[in-house]
Formats: sequence, structure tokens, C-alpha cells
Amino acid sequence: MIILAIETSCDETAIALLEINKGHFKVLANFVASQINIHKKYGGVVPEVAARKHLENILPLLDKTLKQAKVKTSQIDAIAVVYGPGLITSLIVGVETAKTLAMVWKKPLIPVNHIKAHILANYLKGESGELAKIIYPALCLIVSGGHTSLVLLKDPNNFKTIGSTRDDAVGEAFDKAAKIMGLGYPGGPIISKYAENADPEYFKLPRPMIYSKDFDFSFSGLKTAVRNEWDKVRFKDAKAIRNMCAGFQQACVDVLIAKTLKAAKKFQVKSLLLGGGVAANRELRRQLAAQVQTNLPKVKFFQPDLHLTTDNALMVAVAAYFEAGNDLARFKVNWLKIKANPNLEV
Amino acid sequence: MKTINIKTEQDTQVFAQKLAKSLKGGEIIALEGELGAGKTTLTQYVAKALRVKENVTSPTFVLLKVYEVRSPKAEVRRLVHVDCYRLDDPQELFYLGIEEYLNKKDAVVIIEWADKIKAYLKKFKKITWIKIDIKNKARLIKLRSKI
Repeated sequence: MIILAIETSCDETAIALLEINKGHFKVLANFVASQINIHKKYGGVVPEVAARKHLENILPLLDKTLKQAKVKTSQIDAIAVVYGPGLITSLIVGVETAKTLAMVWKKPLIPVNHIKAHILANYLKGESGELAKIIYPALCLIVSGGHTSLVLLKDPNNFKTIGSTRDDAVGEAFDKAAKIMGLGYPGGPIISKYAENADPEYFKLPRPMIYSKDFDFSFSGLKTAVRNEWDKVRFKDAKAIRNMCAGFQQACVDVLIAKTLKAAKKFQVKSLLLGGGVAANRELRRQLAAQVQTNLPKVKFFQPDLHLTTDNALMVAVAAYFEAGNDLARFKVNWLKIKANPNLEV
Repeated sequence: MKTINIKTEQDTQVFAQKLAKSLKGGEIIALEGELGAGKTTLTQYVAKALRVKENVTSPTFVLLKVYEVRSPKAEVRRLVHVDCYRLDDPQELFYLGIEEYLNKKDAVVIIEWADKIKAYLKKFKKITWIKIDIKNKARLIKLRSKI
């Protein structure tokens, strides 16, 4: 089956075409507006307001996707769209565009949860091949600018959030820590780069909630600690910056890994997955993989390909595939009822 | 202008409870302060005092979040938590529907990084500006109201 997927839940406009059949997949096209600098290509000014950005991006991006894949409308079996969670004004652009396409092209429309899409991105490795063999029950650590949570899965359609952040998301914490140190945006890749070969123990930073009995997280206290320590530094030279970056990054990685392993053991999961923009962080990937191998040797560890960690539409397509299951027909009738839901939960 | 010395987080909680008690509906609380000053923490305690059930998390990425208020005494039914940290254009807030809640009798709006939209807020009433200054591990709250 060929699925056209649309993602506009936050800052990024993304569209993809995925061919997927009985355990095999092939990426026909995958576009993300910010990466192809769509405004430059199609001319025009970059709008500041997210909804306007999406409005300007979506149709040119759709055009580009269909042309690249050389796919005719008649060959598309279903349309998938993220309907939440996210920013209501951004979500609406994708949802209403998808509904219109579904109506005009007479295709079933599958609504997809953005978080589920991040989790199921783990099924896709490379541009084509077999879907990853994820054995259930599985646990996914979702880490991004807007979300930090641990999600337990019984199967690809059965999810339950067992813990989440009480304040800042870890991606947000990276952005803010970078801001405190006067570094640029986005904070994640910048801090990660500076942290390389630096000393994570140089500055003493807390590991908030690392011993709490629940599976929740808290990063705002860590942010304040970075600020307090940074204010004390007399010579804010390159060495100090690198050490603070390393210290901050390690503090985040420590709490994320501790809670994830604890949850994996408690729920006796067979697979451990990573998802969200911060899943691109090299130290998190490396250290979590190593810890799983040492402490949970029977658990299989999955991490998404780098380009599938940040927002994209391919993950939406694969999530839609599982959502549809064997009953695509039921998505032909109810699409009119699909509404953007910014507060959608897992 | 009123100043409040905050030495511990409990002091923040006490201040938040007093603030919550004073709310009748339609108020806008504009928060200013550097990263780590305690804007979200203050908001969390106000929400708790208003008996909001859910965890109030940082709205930095979503910009605006609406919570149901269970406080029986006042007409306040909703707490709207806004964060202008990532905002470049106040228009974005308008598109997100913020005007459905500003100065509306059944809602209280708390805006973090409100200094970013000072000009936009000029046309609204019942605004209390709260600035949280960082003094090492302590905080100094400066409060000014425009009723």
C-alpha cells in the first residue's frame, strides 16, 4: 500500500510517500520544508508565524513529493495526517489540507498521533527493506523539545505513558542551557558538539529525580543549576564552555538512562526504543545502547535513523500503516470528523 | 510597587497562594524574569492553589496551554498558561486564540516572558506585572498592578 503522509504539528512542514507491504517498505519521497529551504526555491519571504509558514509550504511540498516519487494520485491508497498533539494553528493546516485531499481524491484518511509516530519511526531503517523486528512488550523513551516521556507498548497500537516531565522537556532544557551560556540555537547539536572530549565531572550538577520511585523527570532544576554554576565562573573561556556543556549533557543522559532502565526492568520489556529530536544526541544513543547491553542483555535496543528523529512525515506514514491494520475501509467514512487536537495524549 | 523577598520555595508557594486567592476572573498575570528565575514554578503553585488537577509543565514549545480550574469560590473556570520565550510575533498568539481568554470573566491568563509582548498587552486591563529577580539562591519579586 502507498501512503501519503502529512505532518504540521509544530514548526516543521513535512510530507512523505511510503510504500509498505507485509513487512517490507520503500521510501518513495520524504521532504521536510526547513531542510530544502522551500522559501528560497519557490520565492517569497519566510513568514514568522508558524501557521503561515505551513500554509505557504504545504502545497509546494506536496507537489515536490508527488513529482519526486513519480506517483499518480490513483496509486495512492491512503492519506495520513498528524492531528495532535501540537500547536492548534499548525495542526489545522495539515488536517484541513489532508481532509480536502481525501475528499477530492476519494481516499481513506488515517489520523495519526504525533508521539506514536515518533515511537514507530523505529520500524524504518534505511530507504527500503524489511520493517524492524520489534518484539513486544516494548518501552520507548521519547525525548524532544516539547516532550519527555516513557511510553509502554503492548503492540504497535496499544500505548500507555508511564512517566513524563514535571516541567521542562529535555530538548527545551538543552536550548535553555545553551542560551544561559550564550551559545546559539538550537541548543542540542551545539552543546553536543562542545561537549566532545570535555570533562563532564568538572562542574557538579544535580541529577533531578534520579532516585524517585516514579518514572517522571524534571529538568528545570538542572537549568537553574547551570545558571548558578555558570554565574560563578570567572573566566568563561572555551574550556569552561566545553566542560559545562559536557556536564549538563551528562546530567541529562544520566537521569534519562536511569529511569528508562528502571522502567524496562519493572515492565520486563523485550524491546527498548528511542524517539524524538533528542534521540539524535550521540552520547544518549551510545550510552543507552551500552547500558542496555550490560544491564539488560536480553532486551533489543532500537534507535531511529538520525533523519527520523526530528519531525518528519515518514514516521507518520508507518504509524498510519499500523493504525489501519487490516481494516483500511473504516477510514473512508469517518474522515469528516477528524479535528486537530492540540492536547492529544498517549 | 510591592516587593516580596523569597528565600525558599515555600515562600514562593505562600506568595502564589495569596495571589491565587485574590483572583476573581479576567486577570492577566504578566511574568518577567531570566531563565531559572522561577516563572513556571510560580505558575505551578498558582495552578495548585486554584486546584488544577493536571501537572502544569513548561509551555515553551506549545506556546499556550489551557487548564481547567476546579476552584469553587470564584467564577474562574480556566487557567491559561502562555509562554512567549519562543515567540517572534505576537500575531502567533492571536492566531492561537489567546484573545478568547484575555480579560474574560471565567479565565485567568498567566504569561511568561510577557515583556516580549508588552506593546500588544497595552490594550488589555487587569494586568499585574510580576518581575522575579535572581539574587544568588534567593529571589526578589517586584509586583505592579494595573486594575
